[in-house]
Amino acid sequence: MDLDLETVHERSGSARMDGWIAILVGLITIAASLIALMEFHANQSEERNLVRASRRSVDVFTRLATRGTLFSFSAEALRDAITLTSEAELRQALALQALDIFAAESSLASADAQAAQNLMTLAQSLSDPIDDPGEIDDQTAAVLAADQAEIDRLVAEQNDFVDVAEAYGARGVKGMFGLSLIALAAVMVALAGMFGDNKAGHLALLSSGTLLTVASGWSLVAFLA
Amino acid sequence: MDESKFKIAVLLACVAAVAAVVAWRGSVHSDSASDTWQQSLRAQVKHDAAVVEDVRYAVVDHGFGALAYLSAEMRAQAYRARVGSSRGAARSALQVEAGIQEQIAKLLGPNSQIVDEGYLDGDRIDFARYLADVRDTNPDLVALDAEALQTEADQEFDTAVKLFSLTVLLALAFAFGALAQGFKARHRLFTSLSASVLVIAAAAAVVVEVA
Repeated sequence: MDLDLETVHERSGSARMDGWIAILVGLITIAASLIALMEFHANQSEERNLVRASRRSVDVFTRLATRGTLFSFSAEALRDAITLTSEAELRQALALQALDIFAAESSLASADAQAAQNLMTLAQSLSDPIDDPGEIDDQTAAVLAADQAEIDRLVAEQNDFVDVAEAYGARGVKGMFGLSLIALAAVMVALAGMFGDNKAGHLALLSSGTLLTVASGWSLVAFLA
Repeated sequence: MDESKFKIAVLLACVAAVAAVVAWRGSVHSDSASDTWQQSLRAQVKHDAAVVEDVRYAVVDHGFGALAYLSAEMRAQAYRARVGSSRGAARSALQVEAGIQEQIAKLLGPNSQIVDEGYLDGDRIDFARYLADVRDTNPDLVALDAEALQTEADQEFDTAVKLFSLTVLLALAFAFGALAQGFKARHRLFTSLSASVLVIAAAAAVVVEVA
């Protein structure tokens, strides 16, 4: 049996080239799927956190608006009580200068003082008009029960969601760049297969490997950051 | 050798087809998650706008009126309580003032639902009960639950992530297929591995979809 050494060398070289192409194709496929997963997760997480941040913003402004309105309710009652108290005291004091109506004004002042005291009690009961939510639905009760500490907590949460969304956004952009490099690596490995086992093929293979390494490293850094 | 190449080609085509289906289902769940997140935001805006408006309506449109009514009522009661123990001009002044405040209360009362529809508890306003009834006039808005929608969207997102994670497994199946082509001496091993991973990934995808 004749053995053509040149053909054997050529075939073994071609087999090695096929092996490298197969390895690169496999690695490129796995890296592409991983980076695509990372990019998808980052983009969706950015959206999720932005929605949460927006919801927290709505939470904060709803609580501020309702607190302001409820506060004005008790403030109005308090203002009425203070006005009536002042009126009673002034009536009593100024009646001293008109003794012919002093008795009448004094009776009115006494009645005003009593009414002012009752109004003050009412104002105090309205300082927390929803102390017992009763039949109010849970979501509304939670809005009405919010104090300053709760609002501060919501603002902090809103800021955190925005920060997390920004981090995911940056990761998504980096993932997109990694995918672009992977696409170039795939093109280069395809070119290597077309060029065959020669200098051009080897160069294309080397370029593909380099691009795959850079893309994987870049994406790994983006993922860990 | 041609037959083995054909088998590998068929296997890789199957991997690609399963990957396409899994990615499609992942996209569907991802799209659903996005839509539901946006719905949760819209629901929250609607719900909270209704809360703000209902509180404003209860306080500004009817609460202040009830306060003015109660103020007049309290004054009238205080004047009237002193009429019996007074004489002369003082008695007349108290009667006149009591009459004035009673007339004011009569004028103001019907303008406030809180007074007119029985939300007063003596000299106090049963504001929680009134607000609950105001909220109940729009049950659709009360029923809006943004948090439930957010949870639903998060679950859709989790499903999408699981499905997209399976494409990594399918990429592995594809890689084994490529290695079967590149290393012909071990093509049986790589082909078996590729087929096994494909079956596992497909089964996992079905489990994720059904669960």
